[in-house]
Amino acid sequence: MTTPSRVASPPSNGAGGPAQLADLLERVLDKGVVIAGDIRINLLDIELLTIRIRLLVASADKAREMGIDWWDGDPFLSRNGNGALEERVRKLERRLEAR
Amino acid sequence: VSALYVYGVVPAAATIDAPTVELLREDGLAAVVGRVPLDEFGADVIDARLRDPAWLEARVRAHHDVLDSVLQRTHVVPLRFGAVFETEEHVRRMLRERNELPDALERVRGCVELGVKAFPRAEPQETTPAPTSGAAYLRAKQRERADAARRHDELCAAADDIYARLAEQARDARVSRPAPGSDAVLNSAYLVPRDDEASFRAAAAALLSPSLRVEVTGPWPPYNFVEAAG
Repeated sequence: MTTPSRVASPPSNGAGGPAQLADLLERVLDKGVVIAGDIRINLLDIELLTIRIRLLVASADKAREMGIDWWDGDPFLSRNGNGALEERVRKLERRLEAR
Repeated sequence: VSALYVYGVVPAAATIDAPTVELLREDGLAAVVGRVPLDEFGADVIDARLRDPAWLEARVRAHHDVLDSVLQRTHVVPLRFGAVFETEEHVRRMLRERNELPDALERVRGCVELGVKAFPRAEPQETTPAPTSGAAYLRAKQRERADAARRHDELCAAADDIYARLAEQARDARVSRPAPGSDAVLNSAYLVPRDDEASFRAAAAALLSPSLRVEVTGPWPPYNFVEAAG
Protein backbone atom coordinates (compact mmCIF):
# COMPACT_ATOMS: atom_id res chain seq x y z
CA MET A 1 0.00 0.00 0.00
CA THR A 2 1.26 3.48 -0.74
CA THR A 3 2.40 5.23 2.37
CA PRO A 4 -0.12 7.75 3.65
CA SER A 5 2.71 9.56 5.42
CA ARG A 6 3.89 10.76 2.00
CA VAL A 7 0.74 12.77 1.61
CA ALA A 8 1.03 16.36 2.70
CA SER A 9 -1.97 18.41 3.74
CA PRO A 10 -4.51 17.41 1.17
CA PRO A 11 -6.38 19.69 -1.17
CA SER A 12 -10.12 19.59 -0.78
CA ASN A 13 -11.51 16.55 -2.43
CA GLY A 14 -15.13 16.58 -1.45
CA ALA A 15 -16.73 14.25 1.02
CA GLY A 16 -14.51 11.37 -0.04
CA GLY A 17 -11.64 12.57 2.10
CA PRO A 18 -8.14 13.69 1.26
CA ALA A 19 -6.80 13.38 -2.25
CA GLN A 20 -3.72 11.24 -2.03
CA LEU A 21 -0.72 12.25 -3.99
CA ALA A 22 -0.59 9.06 -6.04
CA ASP A 23 -4.23 9.51 -7.08
CA LEU A 24 -3.55 13.12 -7.99
CA LEU A 25 -0.44 12.38 -10.02
CA GLU A 26 -2.10 9.57 -11.89
CA ARG A 27 -5.00 11.75 -12.89
CA VAL A 28 -3.36 15.09 -13.51
CA LEU A 29 -0.28 13.74 -15.30
CA ASP A 30 -1.64 10.73 -17.06
CA LYS A 31 -5.33 11.37 -17.78
CA GLY A 32 -7.27 14.31 -19.07
CA VAL A 33 -7.40 15.71 -22.56
CA VAL A 34 -4.02 15.82 -24.21
CA ILE A 35 -3.46 18.96 -26.17
CA ALA A 36 -0.16 17.97 -27.74
CA GLY A 37 3.26 16.74 -27.05
CA ASP A 38 4.67 13.91 -25.08
CA ILE A 39 7.59 13.76 -22.77
CA ARG A 40 8.73 11.17 -20.35
CA ILE A 41 9.43 11.95 -16.79
CA ASN A 42 11.00 10.10 -13.96
CA LEU A 43 9.31 10.29 -10.60
CA LEU A 44 11.23 7.86 -8.47
CA ASP A 45 10.60 9.89 -5.36
CA ILE A 46 6.88 10.09 -5.66
CA GLU A 47 5.72 6.56 -5.98
CA LEU A 48 4.80 6.42 -9.62
CA LEU A 49 7.95 5.18 -11.22
CA THR A 50 7.61 6.68 -14.60
CA ILE A 51 4.80 8.55 -16.15
CA ARG A 52 4.27 10.30 -19.40
CA ILE A 53 3.20 13.87 -19.45
CA ARG A 54 2.44 16.02 -22.38
CA LEU A 55 3.22 19.63 -22.93
CA LEU A 56 2.27 22.25 -25.38
CA VAL A 57 4.00 25.49 -25.98
CA ALA A 58 1.79 27.64 -28.19
CA SER A 59 1.16 24.94 -30.76
CA ALA A 60 2.84 21.86 -32.02
CA ASP A 61 4.04 23.66 -35.13
CA LYS A 62 5.36 26.55 -33.15
CA ALA A 63 7.14 24.19 -30.82
CA ARG A 64 8.75 22.38 -33.72
CA GLU A 65 9.98 25.73 -34.99
CA MET A 66 11.48 26.18 -31.59
CA GLY A 67 13.22 22.87 -31.95
CA ILE A 68 11.07 20.94 -29.50
CA ASP A 69 10.16 17.58 -30.89
CA TRP A 70 9.64 15.45 -27.86
CA TRP A 71 6.31 14.12 -28.99
CA ASP A 72 6.87 11.52 -31.56
CA GLY A 73 5.37 8.09 -31.02
CA ASP A 74 6.43 6.93 -27.64
CA PRO A 75 6.90 3.19 -27.35
CA PHE A 76 7.26 3.50 -23.62
CA LEU A 77 3.99 1.97 -22.62
CA SER A 78 4.31 -1.08 -24.80
CA ARG A 79 7.88 -1.59 -23.68
CA ASN A 80 7.33 -1.42 -19.96
CA GLY A 81 3.79 -2.66 -19.80
CA ASN A 82 2.83 -5.36 -17.38
CA GLY A 83 1.58 -8.03 -19.76
CA ALA A 84 -0.76 -9.92 -17.45
CA LEU A 85 -2.35 -6.78 -16.12
CA GLU A 86 -2.75 -5.25 -19.56
CA GLU A 87 -4.56 -8.41 -20.58
CA ARG A 88 -6.86 -8.17 -17.57
CA VAL A 89 -7.61 -4.55 -18.33
CA ARG A 90 -8.47 -5.44 -21.91
CA LYS A 91 -10.69 -8.26 -20.72
CA LEU A 92 -12.53 -5.94 -18.36
CA GLU A 93 -12.98 -3.39 -21.08
CA ARG A 94 -14.45 -5.98 -23.42
CA ARG A 95 -16.77 -7.13 -20.67
CA LEU A 96 -17.90 -3.59 -20.09
CA GLU A 97 -18.43 -2.91 -23.77
CA ALA A 98 -20.48 -6.07 -24.12
CA ARG A 99 -22.93 -5.12 -21.42
CA VAL B 1 7.07 37.12 -19.00
CA SER B 2 4.11 34.82 -18.64
CA ALA B 3 2.13 32.33 -20.65
CA LEU B 4 -1.40 31.01 -20.45
CA TYR B 5 -1.97 27.72 -18.73
CA VAL B 6 -5.23 25.97 -19.56
CA TYR B 7 -6.68 23.78 -16.82
CA GLY B 8 -9.84 22.63 -18.44
CA VAL B 9 -12.79 23.43 -20.65
CA VAL B 10 -16.33 24.29 -19.50
CA PRO B 11 -19.52 25.42 -21.24
CA ALA B 12 -19.36 29.10 -22.28
CA ALA B 13 -22.41 29.79 -20.11
CA ALA B 14 -20.72 28.46 -16.98
CA THR B 15 -19.53 30.58 -14.10
CA ILE B 16 -16.63 29.69 -11.87
CA ASP B 17 -15.46 30.70 -8.45
CA ALA B 18 -11.70 30.28 -8.45
CA PRO B 19 -9.52 33.24 -7.54
CA THR B 20 -6.51 32.76 -9.80
CA VAL B 21 -8.16 31.86 -13.08
CA GLU B 22 -10.57 33.28 -15.61
CA LEU B 23 -12.70 32.06 -18.48
CA LEU B 24 -11.76 32.64 -22.08
CA ARG B 25 -14.87 32.08 -24.19
CA GLU B 26 -15.03 30.95 -27.79
CA ASP B 27 -17.65 29.10 -29.78
CA GLY B 28 -19.86 27.85 -26.96
CA LEU B 29 -16.84 26.72 -24.94
CA ALA B 30 -14.74 28.42 -22.33
CA ALA B 31 -11.17 27.65 -21.37
CA VAL B 32 -10.25 27.93 -17.70
CA VAL B 33 -6.97 29.82 -17.93
CA GLY B 34 -4.41 31.20 -15.54
CA ARG B 35 -1.10 32.98 -16.06
CA VAL B 36 2.10 31.07 -15.39
CA PRO B 37 5.64 32.40 -15.55
CA LEU B 38 7.68 31.31 -18.55
CA ASP B 39 10.71 30.89 -16.34
CA GLU B 40 8.86 27.86 -14.97
CA PHE B 41 6.96 26.60 -17.99
CA GLY B 42 9.11 27.80 -20.88
CA ALA B 43 10.43 25.20 -23.30
CA ASP B 44 14.01 25.80 -22.19
CA VAL B 45 13.38 25.20 -18.50
CA ILE B 46 10.44 22.82 -18.34
CA ASP B 47 12.57 19.68 -18.59
CA ALA B 48 14.54 20.61 -15.51
CA ARG B 49 11.41 21.63 -13.63
CA LEU B 50 9.73 18.34 -14.37
CA ARG B 51 12.59 16.49 -12.73
CA ASP B 52 12.07 18.44 -9.55
CA PRO B 53 9.52 16.42 -7.53
CA ALA B 54 8.73 19.30 -5.17
CA TRP B 55 7.96 21.65 -8.05
CA LEU B 56 5.94 19.03 -9.84
CA GLU B 57 3.91 18.12 -6.79
CA ALA B 58 3.09 21.75 -6.07
CA ARG B 59 2.05 22.33 -9.69
CA VAL B 60 0.01 19.16 -9.87
CA ARG B 61 -1.83 20.13 -6.69
CA ALA B 62 -2.43 23.62 -8.05
CA HIS B 63 -3.79 22.13 -11.28
CA HIS B 64 -6.16 19.92 -9.38
CA ASP B 65 -7.23 22.62 -6.90
CA VAL B 66 -8.35 24.86 -9.74
CA LEU B 67 -10.36 22.08 -11.38
CA ASP B 68 -11.80 21.07 -8.03
CA SER B 69 -13.09 24.63 -7.52
CA VAL B 70 -14.47 24.70 -11.04
CA LEU B 71 -16.24 21.39 -10.43
CA GLN B 72 -18.22 22.97 -7.59
CA ARG B 73 -20.05 25.13 -10.13
CA THR B 74 -20.12 23.24 -13.41
CA HIS B 75 -19.09 20.11 -15.22
CA VAL B 76 -15.66 20.33 -16.77
CA VAL B 77 -13.37 18.62 -19.25
CA PRO B 78 -10.00 18.46 -17.49
CA LEU B 79 -6.88 18.94 -19.57
CA ARG B 80 -3.78 16.99 -18.82
CA PHE B 81 -1.04 18.80 -16.93
CA GLY B 82 1.03 21.26 -18.88
CA ALA B 83 -1.12 22.79 -21.62
CA VAL B 84 0.69 26.10 -21.98
CA PHE B 85 -0.09 28.69 -24.64
CA GLU B 86 1.67 31.86 -25.68
CA THR B 87 -1.33 34.05 -26.32
CA GLU B 88 -5.09 34.21 -25.90
CA GLU B 89 -5.45 33.73 -29.63
CA HIS B 90 -3.67 30.38 -29.36
CA VAL B 91 -6.12 29.31 -26.66
CA ARG B 92 -9.09 30.39 -28.78
CA ARG B 93 -7.73 28.52 -31.74
CA MET B 94 -7.42 25.40 -29.61
CA LEU B 95 -11.07 25.77 -28.57
CA ARG B 96 -12.13 26.19 -32.21
CA GLU B 97 -10.00 23.43 -33.65
CA ARG B 98 -10.24 20.65 -31.10
CA ASN B 99 -13.48 19.18 -32.39
CA GLU B 100 -13.72 16.54 -29.70
CA LEU B 101 -14.12 19.10 -26.91
CA PRO B 102 -17.88 19.74 -27.29
CA ASP B 103 -18.52 15.99 -27.36
CA ALA B 104 -16.33 15.41 -24.33
CA LEU B 105 -18.16 18.15 -22.46
CA GLU B 106 -21.49 16.62 -23.40
CA ARG B 107 -20.40 13.17 -22.21
CA VAL B 108 -19.55 14.46 -18.74
CA ARG B 109 -22.50 16.84 -18.43
CA GLY B 110 -23.69 16.94 -14.84
CA CYS B 111 -21.22 14.24 -13.84
CA VAL B 112 -18.31 13.75 -11.51
CA GLU B 113 -15.74 10.98 -11.33
CA LEU B 114 -15.49 8.63 -8.38
CA GLY B 115 -12.43 6.46 -7.88
CA VAL B 116 -12.56 2.97 -6.43
CA LYS B 117 -9.57 0.95 -5.38
CA ALA B 118 -9.61 -2.50 -3.84
CA PHE B 119 -6.90 -3.85 -1.57
CA PRO B 120 -6.40 -7.41 -0.31
CA ARG B 121 -7.47 -7.85 3.26
CA ALA B 122 -4.76 -9.23 5.52
CA GLU B 123 -4.78 -13.01 5.43
CA PRO B 124 -4.37 -15.11 8.57
CA GLN B 125 -0.84 -16.46 8.63
CA GLU B 126 -0.66 -20.23 8.79
CA THR B 127 2.19 -21.51 10.86
CA THR B 128 3.88 -24.41 9.20
CA PRO B 129 6.39 -26.61 11.01
CA ALA B 130 9.99 -26.06 9.95
CA PRO B 131 10.92 -28.50 7.18
CA THR B 132 12.93 -31.46 8.32
CA SER B 133 14.63 -32.24 5.03
CA GLY B 134 15.66 -30.63 1.77
CA ALA B 135 12.84 -32.37 -0.07
CA ALA B 136 10.28 -31.19 2.49
CA TYR B 137 11.63 -27.68 2.16
CA LEU B 138 11.23 -27.72 -1.62
CA ARG B 139 7.72 -29.17 -1.35
CA ALA B 140 6.78 -26.43 1.11
CA LYS B 141 8.20 -23.77 -1.19
CA GLN B 142 6.28 -25.19 -4.12
CA ARG B 143 3.06 -25.25 -2.13
CA GLU B 144 3.63 -21.65 -1.05
CA ARG B 145 4.03 -20.53 -4.63
CA ALA B 146 0.92 -22.41 -5.73
CA ASP B 147 -1.08 -20.92 -2.86
CA ALA B 148 0.09 -17.41 -3.69
CA ALA B 149 -0.84 -17.85 -7.37
CA ARG B 150 -4.26 -19.22 -6.46
CA ARG B 151 -4.87 -16.39 -4.02
CA HIS B 152 -3.82 -13.86 -6.64
CA ASP B 153 -6.28 -15.34 -9.14
CA GLU B 154 -9.07 -15.25 -6.56
CA LEU B 155 -8.32 -11.63 -5.69
CA CYS B 156 -8.33 -10.66 -9.36
CA ALA B 157 -11.65 -12.42 -9.90
CA ALA B 158 -13.13 -10.64 -6.86
CA ALA B 159 -11.79 -7.31 -8.18
CA ASP B 160 -13.26 -7.93 -11.62
CA ASP B 161 -16.59 -8.68 -10.00
CA ILE B 162 -16.52 -5.45 -8.00
CA TYR B 163 -15.70 -3.51 -11.15
CA ALA B 164 -18.53 -5.08 -13.12
CA ARG B 165 -21.06 -4.45 -10.36
CA LEU B 166 -20.07 -0.82 -9.83
CA ALA B 167 -19.94 -0.16 -13.57
CA GLU B 168 -23.65 -0.97 -13.62
CA GLN B 169 -24.21 1.91 -11.20
CA ALA B 170 -22.33 4.39 -13.38
CA ARG B 171 -22.68 6.10 -16.72
CA ASP B 172 -19.23 4.89 -17.72
CA ALA B 173 -16.28 3.12 -16.10
CA ARG B 174 -12.54 2.66 -16.60
CA VAL B 175 -9.81 0.53 -15.11
CA SER B 176 -6.21 1.66 -14.77
CA ARG B 177 -3.03 0.00 -13.71
CA PRO B 178 -2.49 0.35 -9.96
CA ALA B 179 0.43 2.65 -9.20
CA PRO B 180 3.74 0.81 -8.97
CA GLY B 181 4.35 -0.10 -5.36
CA SER B 182 0.65 -0.11 -4.52
CA ASP B 183 -0.86 -3.41 -3.49
CA ALA B 184 -4.23 -2.49 -4.98
CA VAL B 185 -5.71 -5.20 -7.17
CA LEU B 186 -8.27 -2.81 -8.63
CA ASN B 187 -7.80 0.81 -9.62
CA SER B 188 -10.95 2.04 -11.29
CA ALA B 189 -12.93 5.17 -12.05
CA TYR B 190 -16.64 5.74 -12.60
CA LEU B 191 -18.51 8.54 -14.28
CA VAL B 192 -21.48 9.29 -12.06
CA PRO B 193 -24.19 11.97 -12.27
CA ARG B 194 -23.58 14.38 -9.41
CA ASP B 195 -26.97 13.57 -7.92
CA ASP B 196 -26.17 9.85 -7.83
CA GLU B 197 -22.96 10.13 -5.84
CA ALA B 198 -24.57 9.07 -2.58
CA SER B 199 -26.25 6.03 -4.07
CA PHE B 200 -23.01 5.01 -5.80
CA ARG B 201 -21.14 5.25 -2.52
CA ALA B 202 -23.85 3.20 -0.85
CA ALA B 203 -23.49 0.54 -3.55
CA ALA B 204 -19.72 0.47 -3.01
CA ALA B 205 -20.15 0.20 0.74
CA ALA B 206 -22.60 -2.66 0.27
CA LEU B 207 -20.16 -4.81 -1.68
CA LEU B 208 -18.78 -6.42 1.47
CA SER B 209 -16.14 -8.49 -0.25
CA PRO B 210 -14.61 -11.01 2.15
CA SER B 211 -11.21 -10.79 0.46
CA LEU B 212 -11.01 -7.13 -0.58
CA ARG B 213 -11.22 -3.80 1.16
CA VAL B 214 -12.79 -1.15 -1.04
CA GLU B 215 -11.82 2.50 -0.97
CA VAL B 216 -13.80 5.27 -2.70
CA THR B 217 -12.24 8.63 -3.59
CA GLY B 218 -13.68 11.76 -5.11
CA PRO B 219 -15.64 13.47 -6.39
CA TRP B 220 -12.99 14.20 -8.99
CA PRO B 221 -13.19 16.16 -12.19
CA PRO B 222 -13.74 13.43 -14.80
CA TYR B 223 -10.06 13.01 -15.68
CA ASN B 224 -10.61 9.42 -16.78
CA PHE B 225 -13.51 10.11 -19.13
CA VAL B 226 -12.41 12.76 -21.55
CA GLU B 227 -9.88 11.08 -23.80
CA ALA B 228 -11.11 10.81 -27.35
CA ALA B 229 -12.30 7.31 -28.18
CA GLY B 230 -9.67 5.02 -29.68
